[in-house]
Amino acid sequence: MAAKRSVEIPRGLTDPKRWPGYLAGMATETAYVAALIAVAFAIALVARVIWP
Amino acid sequence: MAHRKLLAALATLVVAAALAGCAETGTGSAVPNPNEIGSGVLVEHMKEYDGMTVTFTGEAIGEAMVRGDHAWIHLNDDAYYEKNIEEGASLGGQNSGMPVWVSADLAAKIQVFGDYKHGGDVVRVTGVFHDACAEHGGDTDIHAESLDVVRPGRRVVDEPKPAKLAWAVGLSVLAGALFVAERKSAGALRS
Amino acid sequence: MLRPRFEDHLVIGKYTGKVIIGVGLLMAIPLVTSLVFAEWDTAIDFVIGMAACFVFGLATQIACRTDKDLEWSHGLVVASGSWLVATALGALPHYLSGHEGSYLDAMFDVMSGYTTTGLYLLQDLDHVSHGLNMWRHVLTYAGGQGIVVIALAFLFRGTAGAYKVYVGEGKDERLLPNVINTARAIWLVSLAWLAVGWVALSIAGLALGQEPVRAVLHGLWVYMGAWSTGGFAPQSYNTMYYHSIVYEVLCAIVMVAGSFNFALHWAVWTGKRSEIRKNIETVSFAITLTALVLLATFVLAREGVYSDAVILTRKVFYQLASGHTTTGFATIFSRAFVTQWGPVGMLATTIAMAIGASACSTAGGIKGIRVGVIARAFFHDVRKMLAPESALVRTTYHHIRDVALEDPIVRSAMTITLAYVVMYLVVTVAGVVSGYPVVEAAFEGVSAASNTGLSCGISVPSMPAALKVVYILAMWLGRLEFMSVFALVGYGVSIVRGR
Repeated sequence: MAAKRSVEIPRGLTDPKRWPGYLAGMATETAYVAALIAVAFAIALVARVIWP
Repeated sequence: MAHRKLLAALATLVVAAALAGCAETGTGSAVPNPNEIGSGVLVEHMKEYDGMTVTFTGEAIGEAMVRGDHAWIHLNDDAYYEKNIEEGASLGGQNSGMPVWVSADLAAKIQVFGDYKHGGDVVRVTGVFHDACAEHGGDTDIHAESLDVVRPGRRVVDEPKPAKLAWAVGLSVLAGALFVAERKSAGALRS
Repeated sequence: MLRPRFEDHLVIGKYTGKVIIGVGLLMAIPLVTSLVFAEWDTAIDFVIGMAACFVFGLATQIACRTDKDLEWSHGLVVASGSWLVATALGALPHYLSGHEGSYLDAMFDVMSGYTTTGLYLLQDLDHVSHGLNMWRHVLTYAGGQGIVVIALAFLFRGTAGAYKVYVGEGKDERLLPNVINTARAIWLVSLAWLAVGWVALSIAGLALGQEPVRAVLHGLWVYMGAWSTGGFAPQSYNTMYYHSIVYEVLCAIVMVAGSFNFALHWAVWTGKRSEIRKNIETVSFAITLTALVLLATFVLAREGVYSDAVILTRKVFYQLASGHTTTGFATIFSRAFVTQWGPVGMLATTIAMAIGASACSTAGGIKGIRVGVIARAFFHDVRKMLAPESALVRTTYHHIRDVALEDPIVRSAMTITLAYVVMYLVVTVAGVVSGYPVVEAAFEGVSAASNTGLSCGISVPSMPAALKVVYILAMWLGRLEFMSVFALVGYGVSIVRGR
């Protein structure tokens, strides 16, 4: 589990060294939503071609 | 046996309180809608009214959000457009209204927007109704060409009610006393 | 369940009291808000609410003094019981504001807040004070985190039994070996997203023409409504009020992020970025959402409701993502589901709401992990049937690590799914009995039971009181995933049976 690496420093959850990782995590999550929106848009484009 | 009687009494009390809680407080008299075709009718018959020119009156709420030379305003034609709950109006259901897209100059005529501390200007607009506006991301809206303030808005003061104040003081004192008692009994237990 | 002894009542009373003190402390936020904005009458409502919570909490502390620690059954009873008490007392400011038709309506709104549902019966929302609006959104934000997790992180200080309440609240994921650190990690994720989401939405609000103070307040509230997958918004127009694609995209990002399993967040944030592609819940969510978007897009395109592809995406993706994450934000009028979207659009949304998002998140519904596990089990059985008799068919699914698909896992996923399906049926029937058309009754009932909060116009103050009660119970059952509520019922029954 991801927890493993945190066992070593359980107190340092807000350690500045961890923040780049956290921000990259948020960016990854945002990218997931962006991908879903892109797929929805592709579907809408196809729909407009079928029913103009 | 006493145990059961106590429980029965408690249960009766809870049920009585629950039933009292269901009692509606003043549904009030219906406030007449200012519009021939109100927001409720428009939403219920979107397709029929799409593209038609309508005259719509309602209380301006929130703010005018200016976007370039135009602005978004929101007009409520619900039970509160003349007098809202903070002013002592009786309850008349939830809000209902229409988003309106209007030139920023016309929107500037509106001085007061409705919120907790204000009853907004009552405004009349005339414009074209769209069920899913192609220009605005499919939103339901009215593109207004004219705008008049029918009735100016006003500041509303929600005075603190004395009875509530008494309850607040009483309960706070009780809570304070319990806090002291709790500390004491915790201390007594420890020593 | 064993017959409770006197000691058991004491333990349950003590911990319920602690949670209620936590609720009272929470009211300090709206109290300060109303003081800052000089809303004196609202401030008094919150003083009354806080004092009532403290009186209840302190009285139980005095009456229920015990050193006994919590057991599993206690944890379940405390979780479900304190939600009920917290609803009854949390409704005081709502009721005192004068915007609620009855105390039942106020309790409906508060239960809807705690359970991150988003349906409301409050009247004249557009003239509500900043203080009350803050309370509505703090309620839903706190409810999303789990009010018990809050009390756990700040009030309990290292009780071993606290974990048992945490599980009772429907969150059984341990991000870190220690429960308190798990609670802290959950808070860290939520607060980091809060900072980013709040700033982004506030800037967007300013750019969209809101006054600075309103932009910042709306930014916070809309963030809270989205992250908690709650769906409350400060204006009666919900998120249609903003008329902006940027605002909609920001909301969509926050609500999808809010619907992720906290264990997924933690994995992605601590370097396992590929987890987002592999996790059974994100995969399941992407598949079901895309399938439903396809269905709704095609139907609405065929009907010609929306005029171009961008608009189609904006409307369909937003409402369906809102439904699937069980948020309940909408950019169309409630009644437009009936008058514009029609039965197929409504059914697609209903299915999205019924499935819901991830376990151990702020979301409701059946949840992705169960849908994923059941789908896996189905394919497993098909493979087994096709494989030669001697072959050993092994199936795994990926959630943080690869987990072997075993019968007990499938069984528990099936049981809870079945419980949800039965509940959806019951609320739908309750709606139909109350005189609503079946599609609308299903939509609104599933919305309540899956803690979504999209409305097609049934949840209004004039709806039958009995249906309000059914929806309140459905929200409560759905949020706590049945078990702890049944534990409370069992506890009640065993008290009445007596010795």
